[in-house]
Amino acid sequence: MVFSSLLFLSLFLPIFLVLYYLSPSVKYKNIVLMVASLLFYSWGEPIWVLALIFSGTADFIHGLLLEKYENNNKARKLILFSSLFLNLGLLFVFKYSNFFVDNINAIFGTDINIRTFTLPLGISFYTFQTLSYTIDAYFGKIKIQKSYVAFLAYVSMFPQLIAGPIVRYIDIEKNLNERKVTINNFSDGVNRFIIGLGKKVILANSAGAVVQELYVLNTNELTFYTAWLGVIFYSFQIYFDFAGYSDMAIGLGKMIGFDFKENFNYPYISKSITDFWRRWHISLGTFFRDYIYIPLGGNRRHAVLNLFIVWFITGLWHGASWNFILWGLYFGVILFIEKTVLKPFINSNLRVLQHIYSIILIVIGWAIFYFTDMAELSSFFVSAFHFTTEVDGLALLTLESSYVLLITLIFASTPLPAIVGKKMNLYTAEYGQVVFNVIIFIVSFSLILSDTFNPFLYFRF
Amino acid sequence: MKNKVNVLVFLILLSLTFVFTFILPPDETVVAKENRNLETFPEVTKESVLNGTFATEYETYLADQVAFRSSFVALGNYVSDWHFFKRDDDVYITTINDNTGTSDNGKGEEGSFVPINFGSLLVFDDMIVEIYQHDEVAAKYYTDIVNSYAETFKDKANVYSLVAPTQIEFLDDRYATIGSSQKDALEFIEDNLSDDVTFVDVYDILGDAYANGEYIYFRSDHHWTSLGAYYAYREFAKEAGFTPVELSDLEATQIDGFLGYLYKARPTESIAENPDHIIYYEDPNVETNIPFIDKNNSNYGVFIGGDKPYQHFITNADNDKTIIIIKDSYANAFVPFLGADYKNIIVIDPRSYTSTVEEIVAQYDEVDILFVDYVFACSLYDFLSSIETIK
Repeated sequence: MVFSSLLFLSLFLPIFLVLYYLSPSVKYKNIVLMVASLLFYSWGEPIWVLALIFSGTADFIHGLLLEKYENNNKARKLILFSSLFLNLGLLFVFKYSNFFVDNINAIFGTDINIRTFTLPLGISFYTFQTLSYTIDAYFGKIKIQKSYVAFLAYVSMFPQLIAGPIVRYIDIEKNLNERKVTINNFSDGVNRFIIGLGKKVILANSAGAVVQELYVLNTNELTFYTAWLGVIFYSFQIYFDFAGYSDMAIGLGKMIGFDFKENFNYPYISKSITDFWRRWHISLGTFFRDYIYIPLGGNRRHAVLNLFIVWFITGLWHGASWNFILWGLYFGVILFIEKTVLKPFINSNLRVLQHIYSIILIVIGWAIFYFTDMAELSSFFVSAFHFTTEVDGLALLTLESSYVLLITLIFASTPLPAIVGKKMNLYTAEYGQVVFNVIIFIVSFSLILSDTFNPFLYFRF
Repeated sequence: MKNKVNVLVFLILLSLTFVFTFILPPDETVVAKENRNLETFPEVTKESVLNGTFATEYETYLADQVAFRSSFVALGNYVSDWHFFKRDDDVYITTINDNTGTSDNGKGEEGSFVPINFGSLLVFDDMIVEIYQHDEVAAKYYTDIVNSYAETFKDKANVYSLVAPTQIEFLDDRYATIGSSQKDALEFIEDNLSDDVTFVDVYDILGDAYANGEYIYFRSDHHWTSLGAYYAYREFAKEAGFTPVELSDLEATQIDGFLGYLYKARPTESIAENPDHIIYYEDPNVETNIPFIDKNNSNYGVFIGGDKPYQHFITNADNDKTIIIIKDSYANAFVPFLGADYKNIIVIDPRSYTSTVEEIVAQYDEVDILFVDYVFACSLYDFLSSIETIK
């Protein structure tokens, strides 16, 4: 199930909230949360929920074992590796085995055939979450969770289940056993959820429709203008889609007493690519930093190698396809350059140039991300760098018909709306936020019902 | 206080969505406009639940259950159209979830639609047209299939290929340059057909007619009109070596107020105010076992009753000739003109036909096999592979 659907808004969420708040204690609330989350996941994917339960159960048991062999270092190491093996193995089998075999076949000319799987929803997210639990338990950073229900509620928690943010166990350990929701928290949650719904349904879907319109052409038929317009709108689509989903997750979390960390922080106003990765999908970046980059030695030992390992994996995490690896390495190279040659520029005060530099590289990155077919990708770049002064009909028409949208998207991706919103609340109407929420909710609901264009971008992850 | 109100309002909104969807009666105006019945509760089987089709169908069903749905849909369209996609009321491009494909059985029934990709539509003035995207791999696949028919039936049948361009190609340059060139696509197809296949080139005759302002395409539907089909028929007659029937010898009947599939995909006021009309022609000298014209129908389904897997028309033509038409719905308006020229007219929709062409060819002596499709069909892999399958 996805948040931006009729079923979620009209049935799942209201009934869940009623049952959740009728439950007398955290223990029962966790049961409701767990059952609801498993139903949420099972809707449309009833079989793969087993993979989720498997992953959750495995790490729950690993946690108990870690405690049992508290004083046996060898055993503890073995338990950690077993968890790594199971989780990464699960991820590999479902997400990468096919890609791996295809490449083996291509390189060695072999003809190996394996069973192919459809990717279980959210597997890249929940395997990381369960891993974070076992790793942190191994290092003694958290207490072992004794309640299977509470643990499964954490793993399957529907607000962040299918598109993140990646919530580490350590961050919600307290909430899991004890949580309090005040009216103010709930109200904040409502605001967050609705703004996220609007980002997804109003902004991302509209931007996505423009992308579809432009890329109706084959990549080699794109002009300089249609190529760039398309990827600019795609940049907005993916940002509002993803950030919208994170907002909804954070908002829903607040409504039931969980504090998830922020996942986005206006990434398109970045001053450098280093800055961008501190603002984009923050939970993923910090996950890789804390669980891969730093354990590998971070800045201290073979830092360059570490950098490229992390960015190779970051790329691969986004999908089992070469373009994602290329995309990851592309950022790896830029970050390396920013740490070395470009350092004076990055640290300078040339604000305007820094923003232009960053946004161009980010947008080029999204082109690499968009075209999963390498032949299409290269033919896209041939078109995109074939400059002509003659603006074609499609580009002109798109600009004419979508410039209001484009301006809205640019405006909405900066902190300006928040600043304006604050001013409105403070100085004009006391109930400005309420009115805003009602409008966004009704418009989003209508757009969901008119069912024009509502894709889900995260099926690959 | 403010926060209390905020929470309360949100909970009321959620409760209302529940009440609108599950308690209040559904809004029938949408389905009435779309000329279909309310979706029924989907079948629950072990399989449909496990593979997720139940979930998808249930959500479609649920959307139909919402009270005042037409108002919500109108608001949704208003927001996405006015605010975001339209510069003014005149021109915009829009995307629909299912490709119109080639098939409208004319009754607004689902099932024969080919949901492929995202179709892009160009909407302007009182017209909606599909935007064409050339797919060379698919086009080559089309020619390979047609060539293989010619190879297989070399001594038994003449094979013809007729690929119809669509309206967007003949619009003025501002619009015609949106999307790929169909002229290039047709040339590519012609170049890749083997010498054993006769390519029926209808591009110029349709282009000239369109330039003269003749009504050869609908404005609210992706099909050609019977007049467009007639011009194509004349070109085919030239290639197949018979004398075509003259339009003046046929009796014309007009059906007013036709709103086609593209209109249903993107209801547009300017088109509703100025709907299409359908003209069908009947030859008073032709008698058939099944009528070419389905008079119960008032839309494109009037032509041979829409897309059926297999239809065999036996006419009173004074010869022993047989034509097998393997087609998408473009052929439907074309078939009625053949009444005086072929004794047996066998029309096959490859998507739903389950037997083989070979079986039919074996039964007759003088056989022509004609592929009639619109150019978009040459990009639809599922459709093409169905043609390959039924050989």
